[in-house]
Amino acid sequence: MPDSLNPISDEAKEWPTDDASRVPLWVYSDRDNYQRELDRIFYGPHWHFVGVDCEVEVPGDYKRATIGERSVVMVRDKEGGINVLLNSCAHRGTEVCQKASGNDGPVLRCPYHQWSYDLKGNLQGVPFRRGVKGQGGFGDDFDPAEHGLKRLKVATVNGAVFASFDPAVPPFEDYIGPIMMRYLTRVFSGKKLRVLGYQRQKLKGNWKLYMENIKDPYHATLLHVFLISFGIYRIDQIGVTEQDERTGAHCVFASIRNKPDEVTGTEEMASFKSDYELNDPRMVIPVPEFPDDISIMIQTLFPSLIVQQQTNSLQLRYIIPLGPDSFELAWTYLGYADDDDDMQLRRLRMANLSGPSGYISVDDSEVMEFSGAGVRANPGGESVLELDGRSPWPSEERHMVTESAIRGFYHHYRDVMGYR
Amino acid sequence: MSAGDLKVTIDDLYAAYAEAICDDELERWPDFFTQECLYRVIQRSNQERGLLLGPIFSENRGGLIDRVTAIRNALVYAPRYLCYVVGTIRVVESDGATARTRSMFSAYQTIAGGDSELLMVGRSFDTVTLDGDAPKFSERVVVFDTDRIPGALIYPV
Repeated sequence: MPDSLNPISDEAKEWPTDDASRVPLWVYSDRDNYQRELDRIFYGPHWHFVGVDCEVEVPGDYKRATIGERSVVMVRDKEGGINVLLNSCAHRGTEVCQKASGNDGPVLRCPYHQWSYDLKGNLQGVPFRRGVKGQGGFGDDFDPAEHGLKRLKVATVNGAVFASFDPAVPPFEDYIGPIMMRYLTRVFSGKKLRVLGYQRQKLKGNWKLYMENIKDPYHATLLHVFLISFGIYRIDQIGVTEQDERTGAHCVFASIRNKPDEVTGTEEMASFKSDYELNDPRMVIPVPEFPDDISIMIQTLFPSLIVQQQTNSLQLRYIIPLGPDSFELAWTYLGYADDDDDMQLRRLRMANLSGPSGYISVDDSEVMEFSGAGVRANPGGESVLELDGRSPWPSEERHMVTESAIRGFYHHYRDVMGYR
Repeated sequence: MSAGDLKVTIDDLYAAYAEAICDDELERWPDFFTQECLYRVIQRSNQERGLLLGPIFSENRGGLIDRVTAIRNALVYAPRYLCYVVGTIRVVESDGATARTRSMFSAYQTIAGGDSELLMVGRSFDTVTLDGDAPKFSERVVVFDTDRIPGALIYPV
């Protein structure tokens, strides 16, 4: 039932324009819209990141993850395969695994009534199945094969593990397309990975605001004083915007670091400060690691994964919605198994740039909360996305002075959500 | 220094450290450390898995000065106060020149004009150098239990 204080009734849920140059602000706060996102996006035919294969090295290793609001478990089975199972017992719905990660041997056992499952989710044991001294027990028609843990479809790309609740999801390579595969396999190149650590933040804003933030090179050069001052990124540097040519919704920005004496285009950046010097600059001194000159690559895969290479810092950010007004930002920091001590130390130093205290990412997480507060109060408003035109596709030059990637996201979002 | 005097000295160090943060006099914060020092803020969940990554990592006082410079001049965030409550301070061992110490803490954050909320709880595992004019941290490892941080961790702990 529509809230009388909310000007947006169900009937009024129409996109304000024919294109994605406007986004109605109710998409960030409307509860029905949020439920529709869970059903169509998070539990629909889309791929969601659940972890890295090195997190479940040996049979029995498991790690919890979240898709939408649902807890799932990524687990390595006896044959070496990786399964992703709904973390909800087939008996009464209880979460089977409570720890973030672990290994409890060859079975997953629900603590409530000790129903146990093999590492593929098949029901193995049911206490008192035949009753106790002839009393109780399950009927003859109880078939354990019908009571396994729900198993998700799984795709892996050189160690990155994705899952989907919808068996009709397209193959992963088709889902993200060849351009995005090329960039994803820069970081996930086949070299054995190592997890350096995790960070988690809870932010008061809608989950999409964060994806937009990452698809928005406009703000990067204006908001991030730290980044600008040291020439780590500026809007005038050599860079490209790449978008999946079918959906527009997956995107990459890749840029090459400026030389320190190149200061063109800074006169319009009110926050530009060139007099800022670090006492300990080691966290911004990279070493070449990839076969190309890309110093920053930031990839967004619809709906909610961000893969970033920031010189030698490799991070995944995964967004977990917590209702329309809040989300969790879950960071996984990666290195490679063959990193020497210097490289590991370098990656730890560079981690100061990101995460909940990151010299760059603090600005974003704070602005998320400012955005959240602004859009929640004004569901009848709309956002204006006209930097570099109104098209959801990148310009011919594929430059980065553009909001095309945000338009691309909403171009696809409208299709998926059925708003036309 | 007697054990009693050492206890008072260490308690005062922790109290003065907390006051610099709570009084929003962050410019004084790097002075609580020796020039060569280790400062690490890390999730308990990472530390217990043997992982070294956390929100803040610095290998000398210069890095701490950089953080204060960034907090004051570069970072964009809502104005706030941090109430850093430290207790259960204990000298684990001392050889006269240095002391290994530990403490427990809770940190509350108040965004200007808003409610106070719990930012994090945890423990610190520290080494204090006693041979200078004033006791200083040569190592401070802050291990926090709060796996999911509400918002951002802007001020040091």
